[in-house]
Amino acid sequence: MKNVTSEQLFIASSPATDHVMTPFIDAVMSRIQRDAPLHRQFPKPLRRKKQSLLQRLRHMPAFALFAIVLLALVAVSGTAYAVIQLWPKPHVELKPAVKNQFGRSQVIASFDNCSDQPKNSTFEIKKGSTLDPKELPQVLQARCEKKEIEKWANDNKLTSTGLDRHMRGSTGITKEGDIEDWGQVSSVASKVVSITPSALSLTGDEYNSPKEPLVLTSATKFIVNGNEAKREDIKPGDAVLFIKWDKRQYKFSSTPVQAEPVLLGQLIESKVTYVIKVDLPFEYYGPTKQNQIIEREACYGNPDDTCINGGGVDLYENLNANKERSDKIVSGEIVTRHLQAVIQAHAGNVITVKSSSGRVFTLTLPTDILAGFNRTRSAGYGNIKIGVGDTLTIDYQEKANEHTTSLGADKITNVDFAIDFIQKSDPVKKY
Amino acid sequence: MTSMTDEKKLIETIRTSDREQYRVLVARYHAGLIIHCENIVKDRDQAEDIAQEAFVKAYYQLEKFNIEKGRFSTWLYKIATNMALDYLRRNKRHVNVEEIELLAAATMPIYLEEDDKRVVRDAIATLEPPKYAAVIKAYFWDGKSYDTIAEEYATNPSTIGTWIRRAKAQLKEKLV
Repeated sequence: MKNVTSEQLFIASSPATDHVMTPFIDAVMSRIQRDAPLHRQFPKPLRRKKQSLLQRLRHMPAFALFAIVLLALVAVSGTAYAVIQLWPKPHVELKPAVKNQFGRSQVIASFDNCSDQPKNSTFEIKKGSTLDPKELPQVLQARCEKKEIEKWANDNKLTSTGLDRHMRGSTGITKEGDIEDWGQVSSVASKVVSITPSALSLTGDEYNSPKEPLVLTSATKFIVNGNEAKREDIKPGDAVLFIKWDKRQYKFSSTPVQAEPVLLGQLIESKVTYVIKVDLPFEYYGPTKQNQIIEREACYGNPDDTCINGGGVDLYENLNANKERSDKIVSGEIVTRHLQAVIQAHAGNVITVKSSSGRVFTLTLPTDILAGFNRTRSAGYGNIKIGVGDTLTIDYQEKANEHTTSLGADKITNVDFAIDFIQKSDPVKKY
Repeated sequence: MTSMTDEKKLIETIRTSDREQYRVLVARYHAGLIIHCENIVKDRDQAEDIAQEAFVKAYYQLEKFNIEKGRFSTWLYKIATNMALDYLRRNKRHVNVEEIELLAAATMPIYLEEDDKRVVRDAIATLEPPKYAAVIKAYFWDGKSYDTIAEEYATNPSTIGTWIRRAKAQLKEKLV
């Protein structure tokens, strides 16, 4: 068993575990069952890194730490609501928009109090965007405000992060009757229709705002301008985010195919713990506005080029590349690089592309992947045809000291066709 | 790992009639995938998040996966590796990609014949003291974190790390 690590051996020697049940597995299945049926979808963004209490306190701005301490004292003393800013107000400044190499408008934004967003970031306005460029500051401000609220909720354990501690338990197995509590900040802001002591009715985002009234209780807290407030301070027409906890109970259910019944979580209770009024109209916090821009960053392995982390349709994959080169990857002799580039010319299995830095690459693949897609898969993607002027995303491997622009099938591991979307139900559009 | 034929049938069933069967794939690969992600991002909680996201993303892209071209596990690990790298890029100014590739390669899935699996399992079973075997199984087979295992043994996570290192040293001698 040469060139294999002990970790690889242990994992590969695991006995059959096809029917084991753990909170992790249930969390994955619960996500899948909550969402749309199996068809093209896009993953949610990754959640924040969980920090220890000491790390959170150390990294927290001094005034926020002071605010949390005061808030705790007020809560304990049972006095009137303290006027304390629970999270820092984000601040965004934009440089004037310019046209980039891809013919898109882009801006460089400077951020203060924007959670884990790099201080200076580049954002591109998507093709076909209906966004008025004057709205860019609000879109980015809303993005930061939501990030700060999510960070505040996370840091104060007001939402679940990863797996709830109590779910791990000593056996790690969920049995029938077990209860799971799962809390998170709403994915979009919504507009208040009505609010009573027991119910909050919202409207707004067609796909993501709740259709049914949300349950409020005497324990529900309200926040306005980042300060604790009363229910009466939230009014119809206000834009709000909310933190909601769903309680699920696990019961065995039979399926036609599987020999044994499986544990499925069934929603038994749902309640809102926080209603948070946000600064801007609800539209700025949802995909309608947010998905009209996309961040452009340095491509890994090609720092002189920039890439966007958007959607893609796979055109070519060489899954065996890593396996064949594993020794050389381990030794560092071979590295992986990422690139986005516009098709300049296409002749059979040879494609010429140009990256953001102006470098011209020649891709030589085993087959004509563009013609193959156009002929056999285009109908499944709204009859889109890929050709000159379209954008490809390429992963390839080469020697660490090599920077070739001639990429053959021996180097290329992945080619995707870059696409755009705003709402998840939108038809596929070319980037 | 199971045979390619069995997995092909399973994936076809998930695609066409019974998405609940995806649970089988998650059960089969979750322990190794979490460890793989943890190897890259050096944070257990974040690794579990990334692994969970990778499984969900793989589910929604399952119709694009071509099992004739390679194993589901290889494809899944690639998705997770890219997500882990994205996480590092968002949270660090500089990412040493070569170093990350090296770390990722150390836990990429491998396939063992049944005989080889028995050799490894037998070697694990003979570890001294027996708690070393239990800890290896809990971490590498059951997908438990150092924190969880430490709670079970009323000790601290660094001790669990020490036990695992000692177990690996013993197994290295047995398996060379």
